[in-house]
Amino acid sequence: MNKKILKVSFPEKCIGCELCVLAAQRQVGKASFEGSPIRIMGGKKGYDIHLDPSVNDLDVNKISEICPKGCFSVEEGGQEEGLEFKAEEDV
Amino acid sequence: MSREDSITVVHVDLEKGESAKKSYPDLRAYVGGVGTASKLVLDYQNLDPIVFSIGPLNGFFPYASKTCVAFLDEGKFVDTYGGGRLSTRLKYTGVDAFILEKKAREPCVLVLDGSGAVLVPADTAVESLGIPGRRCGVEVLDGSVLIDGYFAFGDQRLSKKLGEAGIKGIVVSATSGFQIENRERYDRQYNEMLGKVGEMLIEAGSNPSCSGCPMGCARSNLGENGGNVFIHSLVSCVFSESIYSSIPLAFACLNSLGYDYVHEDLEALPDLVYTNINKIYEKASDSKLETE
Repeated sequence: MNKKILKVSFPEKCIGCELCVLAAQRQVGKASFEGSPIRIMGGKKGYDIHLDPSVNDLDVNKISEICPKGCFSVEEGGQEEGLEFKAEEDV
Repeated sequence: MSREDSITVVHVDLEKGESAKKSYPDLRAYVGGVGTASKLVLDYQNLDPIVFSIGPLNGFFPYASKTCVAFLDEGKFVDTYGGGRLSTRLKYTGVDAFILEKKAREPCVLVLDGSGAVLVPADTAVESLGIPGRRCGVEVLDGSVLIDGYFAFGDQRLSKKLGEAGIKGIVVSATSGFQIENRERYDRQYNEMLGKVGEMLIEAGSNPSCSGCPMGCARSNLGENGGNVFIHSLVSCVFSESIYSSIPLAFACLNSLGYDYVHEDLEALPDLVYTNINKIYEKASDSKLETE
């Protein structure tokens, strides 16, 4: 099954607003940084966006779209972990 | 959350190097920010307090990105505001305000998280403290106080005041947070507020932005002073005044979080704050007469 993958395509554009962090947390009903799959590191000299692979379990389009600077892209075609089995009658 | 819920305050006794977390049900009427801070300055005036205070919308809604600091400078009540990441870190630490009381015996750095506050020696590098990605560092420099090395407070007297108290830095790490109770309603309200970005009174830019604000504006680093009591109790940015000055919108935001304030509560807020400030001046005047 294809999965959408969130990529940081333009990290240099990040302004540190953390809308992506908060958007990811809202999807799991939280307002916190605890367990967030995205962390924004750094400060005045620039920001780094750290993604935990578990971010791809979320609606990554919503996370990408909320970034005011377009730092992210969403790639199609990622493979879900694990094997895929076909039903017996399809074999 | 409801109007009856308590405001959580961490008291830091700088002289003894001790801290204690207390709950104040009666402070909810002051909403937050300058409302809460003015009451705490009044109640702890004898301890020469420096109060850092956030409001109910910080960490939950866009543009509510400032932290209020209130103190007395030569008897005058000062309220000043800084942006950056401080307000979200405080919110997600489960702390609505903290008070620095008295003066430290040695210069020090305050380290605050959900478990309380400790003081460490002043030569400890602020950037080495706290949890990466969840921390915020405040540095007290000669003539300014900077949040994460960039975002200043509006009033330079804060630098002198913190320096006199022996505080060289403050580090806050967000170690807790909230489960959103009514996700659908909250998400709808959040998106409505974010959609009002065009009503901000400043142009978007590519500068470091306050946490929760998409603007990256050219003035995020300047801080604010005094002004609109209502938005400075929420505590939102002056450039979002046209958005958060709308009482129905503010109500909608507060209600989506479960607060049950009514019109009379919010209308009473400016009078409550001015009453607090007047009482502070009366107290100072009485104390001066007693000394004489």
